[in-house]
Amino acid sequence: MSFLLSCPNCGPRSAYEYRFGGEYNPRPRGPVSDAAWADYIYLRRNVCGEQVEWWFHRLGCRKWFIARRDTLTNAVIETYWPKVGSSEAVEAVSGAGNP
Amino acid sequence: VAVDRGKRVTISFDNRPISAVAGQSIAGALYAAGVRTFSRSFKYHRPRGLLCVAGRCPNCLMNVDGVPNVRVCVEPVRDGVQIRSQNAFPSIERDLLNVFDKVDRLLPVGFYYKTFIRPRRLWPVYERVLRTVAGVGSLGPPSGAADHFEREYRYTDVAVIGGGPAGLSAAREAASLGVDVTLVDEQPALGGHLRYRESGDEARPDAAGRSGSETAVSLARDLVGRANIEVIGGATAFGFYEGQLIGVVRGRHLIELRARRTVFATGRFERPIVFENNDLPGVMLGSGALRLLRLDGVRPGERAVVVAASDEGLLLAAELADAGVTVTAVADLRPAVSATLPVVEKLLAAGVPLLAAHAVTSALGTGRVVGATLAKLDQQGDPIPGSAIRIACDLIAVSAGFEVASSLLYQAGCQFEYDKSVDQFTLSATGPEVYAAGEVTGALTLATVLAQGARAGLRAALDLRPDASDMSSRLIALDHELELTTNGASPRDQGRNLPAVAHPGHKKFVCLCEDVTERDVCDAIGEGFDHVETLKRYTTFTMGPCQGKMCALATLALAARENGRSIAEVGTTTARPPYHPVALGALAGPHHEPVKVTSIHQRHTALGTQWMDTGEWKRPRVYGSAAAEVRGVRERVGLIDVGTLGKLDVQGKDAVKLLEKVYTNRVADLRIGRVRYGVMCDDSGIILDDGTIARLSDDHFFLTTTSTGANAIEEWLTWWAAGTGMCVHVTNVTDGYAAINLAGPRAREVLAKLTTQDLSSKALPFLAAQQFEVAGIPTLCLRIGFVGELGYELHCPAEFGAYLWDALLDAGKEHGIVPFGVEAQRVLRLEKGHIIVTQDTDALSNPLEADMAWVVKLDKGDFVGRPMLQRVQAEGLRNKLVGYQMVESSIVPEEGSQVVVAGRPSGRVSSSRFSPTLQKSIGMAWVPIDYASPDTLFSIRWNERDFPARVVRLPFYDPEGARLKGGDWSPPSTARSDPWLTPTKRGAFRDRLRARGATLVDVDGWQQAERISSVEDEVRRSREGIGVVDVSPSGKLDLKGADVAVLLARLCGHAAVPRPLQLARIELGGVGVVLARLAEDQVLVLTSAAARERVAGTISGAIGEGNGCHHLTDVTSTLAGLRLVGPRCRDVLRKLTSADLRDRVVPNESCAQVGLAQIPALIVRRDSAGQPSYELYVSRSYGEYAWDVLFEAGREFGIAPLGLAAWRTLSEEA
Repeated sequence: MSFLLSCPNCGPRSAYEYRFGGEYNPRPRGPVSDAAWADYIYLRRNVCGEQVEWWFHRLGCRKWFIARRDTLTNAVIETYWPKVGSSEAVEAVSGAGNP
Repeated sequence: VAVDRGKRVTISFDNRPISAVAGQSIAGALYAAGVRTFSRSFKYHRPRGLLCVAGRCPNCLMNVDGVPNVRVCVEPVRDGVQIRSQNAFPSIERDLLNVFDKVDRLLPVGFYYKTFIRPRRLWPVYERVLRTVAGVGSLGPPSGAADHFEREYRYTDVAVIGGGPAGLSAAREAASLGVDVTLVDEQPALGGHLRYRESGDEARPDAAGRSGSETAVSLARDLVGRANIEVIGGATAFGFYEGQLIGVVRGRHLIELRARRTVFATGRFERPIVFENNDLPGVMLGSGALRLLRLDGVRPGERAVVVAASDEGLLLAAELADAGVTVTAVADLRPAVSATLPVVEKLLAAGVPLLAAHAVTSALGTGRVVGATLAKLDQQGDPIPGSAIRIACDLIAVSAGFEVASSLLYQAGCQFEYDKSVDQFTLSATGPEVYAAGEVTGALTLATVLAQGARAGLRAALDLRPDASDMSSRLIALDHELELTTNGASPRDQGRNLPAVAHPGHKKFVCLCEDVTERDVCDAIGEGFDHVETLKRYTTFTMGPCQGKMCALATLALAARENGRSIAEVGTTTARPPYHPVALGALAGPHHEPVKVTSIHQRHTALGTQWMDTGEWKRPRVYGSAAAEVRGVRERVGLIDVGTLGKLDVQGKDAVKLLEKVYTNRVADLRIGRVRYGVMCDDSGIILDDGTIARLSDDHFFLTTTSTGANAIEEWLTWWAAGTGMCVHVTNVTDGYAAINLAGPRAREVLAKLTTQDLSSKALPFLAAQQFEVAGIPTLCLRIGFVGELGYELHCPAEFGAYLWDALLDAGKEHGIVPFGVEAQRVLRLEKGHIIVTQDTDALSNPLEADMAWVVKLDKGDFVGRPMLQRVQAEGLRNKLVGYQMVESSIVPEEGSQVVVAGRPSGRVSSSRFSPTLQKSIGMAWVPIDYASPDTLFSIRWNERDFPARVVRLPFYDPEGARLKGGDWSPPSTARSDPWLTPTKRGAFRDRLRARGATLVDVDGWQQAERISSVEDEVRRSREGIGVVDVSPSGKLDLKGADVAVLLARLCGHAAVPRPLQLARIELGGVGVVLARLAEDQVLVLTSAAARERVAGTISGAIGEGNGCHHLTDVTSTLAGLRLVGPRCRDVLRKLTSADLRDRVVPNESCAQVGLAQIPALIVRRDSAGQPSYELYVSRSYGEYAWDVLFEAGREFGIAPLGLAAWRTLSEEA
């Protein structure tokens, strides 16, 4: 693993500067079925291909951001801050499973 | 010729002094002194001599100054260098282990899979013997220099691999577009094969009438002095990795080179052919003979037989003849040679016998070549029986085949196909974002090679500079030139490129590294290992020090012949890094394992503590006797350094909202000035961490976490806040505060001597959190009791840590105060039944089963973990963490022992100690819920025996909490006896500076270094290398807020607000400050130590006036700072950080947050007096670690600490 990842704040850095936060996995809001809750806690899609995921710039600005990365080639398509706003519910943006 | 005839040096070879010429390689010097055997082979201990003389083959590996396996043919001589031969006993010339050569029938291919297996118990003996007799060099005992490895990180736009004509041309062309170019070349000087070829295409005088070596020199000279070209010479690019990361090794020095585009101009290299005794010293590659001649000034032999398969070999013969070598015959594998070639005419004129359709079938001699057997070939290319002739010679120069250096290109995604017409693999497709040029592509004439190089360099640079559209005409011109040179050049006869001619005979070596013969390869294929990948693993060809450079094609050709297939069908083995052997030490690099120490560290050392590791922290485990420390706390008073506790400053009007979300218990109803225990879970209801929550004001909280949990919890909190738009800011201030827990029945008496604060339970009750002065310094006092006694957890700015420790010890002397370590604390808290997260809990522990239902408020609304905890509650507990007492007090089971119920393992012991207070063996254990009620008996299995234990209601000690809460108290009449010790501020580097003999003075209350050596010396060192000034005392204020720019614009005007990652110097309330914009929403305000409070006041005032969401945290104590000044600053930094620090990325007046030797660091670049200068800020506890790695890495640049006096001198000059 030696790819570069571009922190939206600090710019491109070695992947070793970051902590991988897992795939984007929104926390269900309100009362949900046990099955849906179990999916959220225990199941990951684990796609082969493009994945939306959390990263934390551990040795840099210490901020969380979201990346779209191809899990097969490690090509990083895009990185961006989690969007603030009502279109995406709070829980759907942050607090998604264990980072 | 590179050698300098005028200068002689003396080297030592196996204790024999040898005179050498400066500029020669070690191998050249030894060869000139008559040495012919340079190594002994891996398996048979056959003598081996120089072969490639280019650093590729395994034949000249020697131990140089204690470093094993150095290729002495590319290692320049140095006066006094100690060279030793390897893998021979008793000496390289008379190696008795050569006996294996006589019994080779006992050591067939793959013998280690078949023999030395039984009886199994003898394997250790076999192994020791095999390891001694087989192999290459061995490492000596650890020694300073030989064990020292360096690591460096570099960035470039275009990397060019190979410093031959194609690479030089590519580098020049790419650089002309202004992009950064880095050229990596494995030879000691640039020029590639041009350096040693005086004849042939290269020698055909070009328009300027230059020969090959002159062309090389002029091409190389073109690159010198260009600011945007960096040359890494004498270094091997050994691997091409994801993200265009190129591994480059130069001896003990590893460079991680990161490129955006790469041009491969790796060229081609000559390889040997297979014939009987082809490993005999005196059999040399043609290019090797020329390199000895031209680069070392040593004649490779007196009488030579030249083996040719193309015009290349004929040119070699002519050059040798020109140099005075008697060429006794040229055997050309081709059926016929055109007599009209100029070189043929020249050879015939010189009387050199030219034998077409002849092959060499055997080298004659023992220990060294004395002759060669040649045989005539029939039309199929097979030797005609009876045609053999013997010719006397001392050199067999083989120039019968080249191979393109394709390994790195394969790793970069390029593809090659076997071209039968030239018997070579040729490039068929290039990988993404890389280019290839020169001989590696199959190009042969110099004009083509140069044009290809220029074109590749230009295309690589154009990729990165799409704006340079004016260069497209240049590209078209180059395309045209390339077409002309390719079409216009007279097609040179590339001849045959076959590595082996089928003929009888044995000892025909295919792989020199691992002693694999032609017969071994055939036997292996006969045994069924017919696929090249299995053949490789069975015979180990390509797996030795040459990594297949010498043997790959020959083996493939044999595999094709034996399998009755073509080489194209057989294919190649996968090319993987490393392309060239790399020492494991170079891959590992210098030891960078971060260590954190508290601000009181030195005091513990002075007390002779026994250290223990807690994550990265060093903590005192015990000072003397843990039992005595426990008694001291229970009976009198003790103090423990708890500075390792994670400390988070949480501010904002949504702070409550965030904390309610992550803690299982309530936060909203916590009163200001009070502290509460809190637990955090993840969404599966598992305990993540625990700590305390202190409320300092409505929207300001001070949290503590476990010692190892600070970063994880900071990440956890910021993650739950990310993207929510909540007004809340989390600042990790762990290192900003020293923390000391003062506990015991007399704690109040001790503290009362140091403060005017009313300590009565009414004014400062249990679970109070108040700020007041202790011993004249500001502290936050939390009245909590982890150890179960009346206790005060005192948090003060870290620079006062050692002072507060001294003051408490001094005040407690009359009360018999004892410092206690982690071991005593563990016993004390166990007696009190307090859990330690990760010791008493694991990845399956929820707070309900951990018997902490009181801390889980399922009725408070949603929080992280609530849905799962509700479910656990509803379904009932399955296990429970309980306190137990051993029935036999003498039995203290090991932690982690099994809990056994009805003969089955059913749980585990999480904590176990002998309690000095209760005189009982007590502990905590996870047991099935049916066994969790008090007085139940269960068993603990330890040392294969089951011991009875009884469940006891927690806590073991002081169940009513009377001691914890403390009784009523009225202050003694002699409340405070002034004066106390004078408060002194000690920065993180104070002890390191003192250890270097610094004269310390008090400035702004901080102990600072006035001078270390002398002002003149320090100034000089910082002008020549790197000077380091401690800037820890400077004021540092962390300002956070989404619209921080708006706030700053109000303070200093819109124009003065720096853009992200830039600096601005402004005036705030009449004080000069530097604003470092760390991010869109974060600014670090840097000011002098004296002005810190004033500046903080000005900013806080502005925050108060507005209604935005901004918060200011003073991080002066949290961050330790060093200012680096001097010309070599960046050189040392790029040994420590993998981040790009080029001027374009981190220019003057900018900042970057980077990983530095595995720790987070802030770099603030503020050049001074025309010298580059970087300020480096790291979290205080990492200070000494950062200091140590910085000085270690900077030693080669003459790094030196600067005192304030020297810094004043430097600044005045500025």
